Amino acid sequence: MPPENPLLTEAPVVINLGLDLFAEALAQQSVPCVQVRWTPPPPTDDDLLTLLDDLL
Amino acid sequence: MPADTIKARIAAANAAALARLTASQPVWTDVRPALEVLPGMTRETVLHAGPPIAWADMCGPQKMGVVQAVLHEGLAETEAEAEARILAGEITVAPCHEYDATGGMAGITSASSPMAVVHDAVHGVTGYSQLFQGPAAGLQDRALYHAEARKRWRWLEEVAGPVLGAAVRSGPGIPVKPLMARSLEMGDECHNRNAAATALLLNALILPLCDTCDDPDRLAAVLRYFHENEQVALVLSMAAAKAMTLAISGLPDCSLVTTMCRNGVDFGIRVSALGDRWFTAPANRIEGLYFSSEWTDQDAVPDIGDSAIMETIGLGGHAQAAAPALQHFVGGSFDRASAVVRQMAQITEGPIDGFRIAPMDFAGIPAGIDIRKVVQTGIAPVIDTAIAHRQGGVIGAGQTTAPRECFSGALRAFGAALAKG
Repeated sequence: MPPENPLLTEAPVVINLGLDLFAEALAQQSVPCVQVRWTPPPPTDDDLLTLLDDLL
Repeated sequence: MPADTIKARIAAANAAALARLTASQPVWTDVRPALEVLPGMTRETVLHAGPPIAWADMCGPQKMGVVQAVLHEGLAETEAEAEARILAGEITVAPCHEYDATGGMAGITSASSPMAVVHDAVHGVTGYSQLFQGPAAGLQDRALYHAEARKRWRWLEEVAGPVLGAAVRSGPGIPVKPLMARSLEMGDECHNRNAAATALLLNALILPLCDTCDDPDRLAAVLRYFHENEQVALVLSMAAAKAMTLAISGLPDCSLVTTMCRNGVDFGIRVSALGDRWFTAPANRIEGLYFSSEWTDQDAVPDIGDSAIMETIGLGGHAQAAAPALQHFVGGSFDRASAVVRQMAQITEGPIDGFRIAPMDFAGIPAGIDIRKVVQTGIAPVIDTAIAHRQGGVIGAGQTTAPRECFSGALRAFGAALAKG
């Protein structure tokens, strides 16, 4: 018999990246959740990337 | 030039700029009419908040404010005549920032406007701000608003300006930086919350006011002005912040932001090494709460005012964990506020000595916005701000962000300037 998967037998530990909405939905269901503020990197053109390589 | 050399030069310039922000000692020394103190000011000039914009393109409150200022200064008899003179170019309409000044919300400043004078003797620079004008909420009847606003201007010119000026001149001046630093430890973030700073300011002024004002009615009126307006100290902080940013303007190779401001249409920034050049993008809307349920997003203009000078020196939205109470306006929490402070640290040069966020284990404030880091991370400066009604007056408060396009435009120009040598 395979070992029990803890994900199915224990309360989940949730970390949510980005949109607050998902963390709020869990909070409303009393599920602890760590919210991490994150947004996808902005689209940056090649010129700016080259500039950043030179300047930073 | 090798990239490593350029990077080292920028790093040295930015570190020197941060040291100047730390070394600056802005002191409130006087209150004088704009015509007497602003460099280049004329009787026919009206200043406004934000980056340059043609009068015809302004948002409602600013456009109306310029016309009312022309009438107030006696430069026209009717609104129609005032508009004709403005359109004919007979009235100079320009940003406060181009005259070393700042103006809250619409920022309307004319020749008679009493200006707080804040001087930094360390770097030989002076920043100015109009006096706090009051929220004027609930006056969205256009004619009534104009009458009340101009009545307020007259009172500031005839009572508040002279009384406060005499009190301040009677002593060595009031150092503004210690006042801001202490209020930061008392629950202000020095932009949307200034309750502690205003109380501290009144405490510093009360004896000089009593010593210099012989008229009990005028004295009582000025005390009532402080009593009724918790934001009075903001204008002093803005003038001090303006002086601090003037001390880091025009430094070769420096990639730190010296100006962030908005006119209700555009957001504009300026960068130390690029001098007076503006980089603009459409202003963002403000996420927050209205003071009354009668107002909605439809009533509000986009981000407006020069008060983002506070975030430019690392206060306001950048230091928002110092004022957890403000999180109510954005449905946030202390955790959220401290996360924003840590995020701002990723796009800034470093802390200014003396400014600490007590609830975050006395963390330093994230000061000196680096355009390179904003473009690299995609993290935009967060700004605490008030919300203006389309027909004038303050109707709410909240948070917004600086548009990233300003920073990418500035970075291209910065790179081109360095390439030219």
